[in-house]
Amino acid sequence: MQGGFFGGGSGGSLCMSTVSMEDNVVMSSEDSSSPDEGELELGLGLSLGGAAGFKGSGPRGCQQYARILTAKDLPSKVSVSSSSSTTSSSSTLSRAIATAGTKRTADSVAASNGVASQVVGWPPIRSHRMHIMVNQAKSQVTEEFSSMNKRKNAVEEKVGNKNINTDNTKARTSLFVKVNMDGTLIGRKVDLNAHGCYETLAQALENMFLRTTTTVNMTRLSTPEHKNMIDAKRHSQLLGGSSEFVLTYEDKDGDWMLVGDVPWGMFTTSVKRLRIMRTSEATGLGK
Amino acid sequence: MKRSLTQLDIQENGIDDKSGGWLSCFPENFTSLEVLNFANLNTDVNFDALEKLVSRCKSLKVLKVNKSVSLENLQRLLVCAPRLTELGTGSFMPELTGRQYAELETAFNQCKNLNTLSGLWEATALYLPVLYPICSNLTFLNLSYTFLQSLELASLLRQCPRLKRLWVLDTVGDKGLEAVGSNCPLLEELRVFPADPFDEEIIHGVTEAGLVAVSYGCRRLHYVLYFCRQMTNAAVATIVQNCPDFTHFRLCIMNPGQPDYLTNEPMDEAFGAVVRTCTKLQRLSVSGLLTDLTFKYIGQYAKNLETLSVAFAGSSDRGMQCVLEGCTKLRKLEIRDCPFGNVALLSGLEKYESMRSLWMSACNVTMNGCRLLAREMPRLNVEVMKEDGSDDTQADKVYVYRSVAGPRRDAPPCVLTLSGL
Repeated sequence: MQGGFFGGGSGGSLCMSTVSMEDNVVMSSEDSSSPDEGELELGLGLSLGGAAGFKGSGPRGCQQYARILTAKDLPSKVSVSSSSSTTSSSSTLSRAIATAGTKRTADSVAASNGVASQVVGWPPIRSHRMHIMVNQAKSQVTEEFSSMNKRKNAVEEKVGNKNINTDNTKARTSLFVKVNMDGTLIGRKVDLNAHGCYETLAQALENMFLRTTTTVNMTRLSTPEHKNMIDAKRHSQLLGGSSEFVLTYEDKDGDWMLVGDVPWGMFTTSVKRLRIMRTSEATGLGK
Repeated sequence: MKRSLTQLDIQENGIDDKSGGWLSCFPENFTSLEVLNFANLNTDVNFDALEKLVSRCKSLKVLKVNKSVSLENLQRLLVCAPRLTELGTGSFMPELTGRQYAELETAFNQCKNLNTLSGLWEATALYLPVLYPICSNLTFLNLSYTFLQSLELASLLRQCPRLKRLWVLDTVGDKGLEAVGSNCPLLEELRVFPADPFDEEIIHGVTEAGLVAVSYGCRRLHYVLYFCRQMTNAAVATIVQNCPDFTHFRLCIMNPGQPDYLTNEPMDEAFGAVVRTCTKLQRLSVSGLLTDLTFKYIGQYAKNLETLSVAFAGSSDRGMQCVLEGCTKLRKLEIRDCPFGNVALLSGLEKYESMRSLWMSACNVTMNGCRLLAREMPRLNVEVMKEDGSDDTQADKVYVYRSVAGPRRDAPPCVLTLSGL
């Protein structure tokens, strides 16, 4: 018989594999202790988002703090999307079809996840569409994981769309890289696989390097008097007369590159370590 | 091999090709292909064979490839076939170098005749601008495999003023649908699919607000398929008031039997408004909490209705009876999980011969009822599929259709054909 319900396939022909994963990306900044660098009390905003005013023009006017520049701020052919990665929308990925508690049976049934008993063949969506959407959602989130695995195998290939078996997706692998900041003796490490996009990475680095507990507490105060206090502190803490930094990374070839040019997945496969560089030292990038 | 084969379309089949070599089976002198569609093939294809085939088939107008074809390879195909009118891309994962991106942009720029675009697996906003050169001529855009957010969709739709048909995932949200309303005044068909159909924990997706927004901007809308998690009677009334020309109205409120979330009432008045206002309605799918009143309305007003899909609805046999009595042009009726029993089934005795088919599953129909139907109407095939563990008297799934060829002889063992004896 043809057709079926609504737009769907014939009842009962749904098949979904169980994917159970830890929830979404964990901000490494949650784990990181406050930095030792007491002299750095300014909050610097790493800007990768699409906030207006950043493109082309100097960053200073847009924020109260100096900024680490990334590829977004520099003219490039392919603009970085301002939206967050689609991985954030696929956070709710642990799905399964429960065996219907009713008298119906399914043609192919996965184990119940216990959350809710769902009805076979409902909502009425064609099975091929279900397969494709589920697999794609899975693969978009696991893209970051697969990049770590490939790196470990020293295979040079583009981040693929391979469906990773559920064992891998259950335990997220880490990709810790060193981060050094000019003027800072002690480096840090950040887990790139805890992030799905440049924005959260930038935030994490900002929290790590450019905010002390004091500054964080102060920024929570919203009154104008306190803001003036912060500004005053900032001006007195400037290092070397410059408050602008650039986020760069060393890639597999040993070259130092500006962070943000390439898609996130490609970045994580080629990055070896990060460096927050003073713009004045970054030749050719200009101000 | 037919030398004059012009169309190879395996889109709808869930094919799993083990060998991967089928493309190489086209002989060298085979050049007549106009349509090649293997979008849903699950396996890799031999790209060289594909490229050669596309190159030599100068009349190729429709090309829809599967996910195994990368963006880099897509560029090569586009260069070979700039006269395409319909394109289904392969993977759109953003993995190109700057130079490759520029080449892809150029390739798209050459395709002046494209009016239909689909595929776009793993597309992100990053690379959507590469499509901009062809957007102004697009009439059908299928984004139903692309996880886009509202702003990303809005940017794209601003480039597509001539769009008539749009398929999207509900990741675009109500805000994305507002953008549809604002940018696509010529829209005639909208389908919104759920990205995460089984998600009950976190509310996202689209609501009634999204479709209402579309209805204000797209007055020519006549086909809608809408998966949502909440709806109101008032919203549906507004929607059909704005767009009275619906021929296909398929609304799927995903939680079975869910009432109007604001008033907590059944959704009867919603569908009452649909059938009263949309006199050209041919296809209707109902959902939400519905009493017999919905079916009374349908029987009373839906005089052009040909296909009706019902699930988890109705209060008694009377509901189904109203539909069978009132919908003079009814051809296909499919019902699941409704309290309709033998009385309802048999009330349609006279009707089923003028219909294409009736499907009833998980209703209250019994084997005896089906046998009676088969006996009274010998020109109908009455097929019953029973489920394991169900009680002997219940007819779990019933399929009734007219036939001059008698009962089918190729039915699998689970299908019981009830004869008129």
